[in-house]
Amino acid sequence: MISQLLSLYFMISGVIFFITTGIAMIRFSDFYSRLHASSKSLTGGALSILLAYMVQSDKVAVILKLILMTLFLLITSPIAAQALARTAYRQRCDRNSIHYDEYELDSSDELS
Amino acid sequence: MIYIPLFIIMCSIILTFYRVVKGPTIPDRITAADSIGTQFFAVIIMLAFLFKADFFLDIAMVYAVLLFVDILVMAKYLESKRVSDND
Repeated sequence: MISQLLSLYFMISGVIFFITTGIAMIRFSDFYSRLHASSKSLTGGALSILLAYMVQSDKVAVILKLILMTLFLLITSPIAAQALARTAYRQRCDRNSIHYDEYELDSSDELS
Repeated sequence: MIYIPLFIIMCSIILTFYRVVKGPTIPDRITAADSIGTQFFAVIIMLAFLFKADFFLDIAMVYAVLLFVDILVMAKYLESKRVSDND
């Protein structure tokens, strides 16, 4: 009973995270806002769905696989977002949306 | 009961696909494609429990690894190319 309720709670929160990502992809105006919304709320949504099934499942192998996927997602999602942001910065895409560029002040000599 | 979250996630995938088609720059499209991939990863896990088939979890694991390598390779390639379509 408790596990069913907990699973329902995590499922609803995951779906809310995902629909937030979908709306943010349309409504946000520049690339960095969209990257921010996509990376954080997608990680939250996928982790919520994984937790929802981890709570209600009763086989050990399935729970271990879900834990492995959780750890993998927690490690790889920020790496992908950082690589994309760095690529977009180096290509100078959407430069008008950056109001204060601290990165360029720090490394103005090595970036050329 | 499980069809309602599946339907909502599919609607979110369609909303994200708008950004893949329209997105003004190339990193926009890559980000939107990454979002679609992660949402489809959640759909695969929900299908595994809907069909009660455990091997779908292995497929989801390999899918997550391939998605990560895809995004990283595309980002590194574009960083060395210095292409841009709006400047």
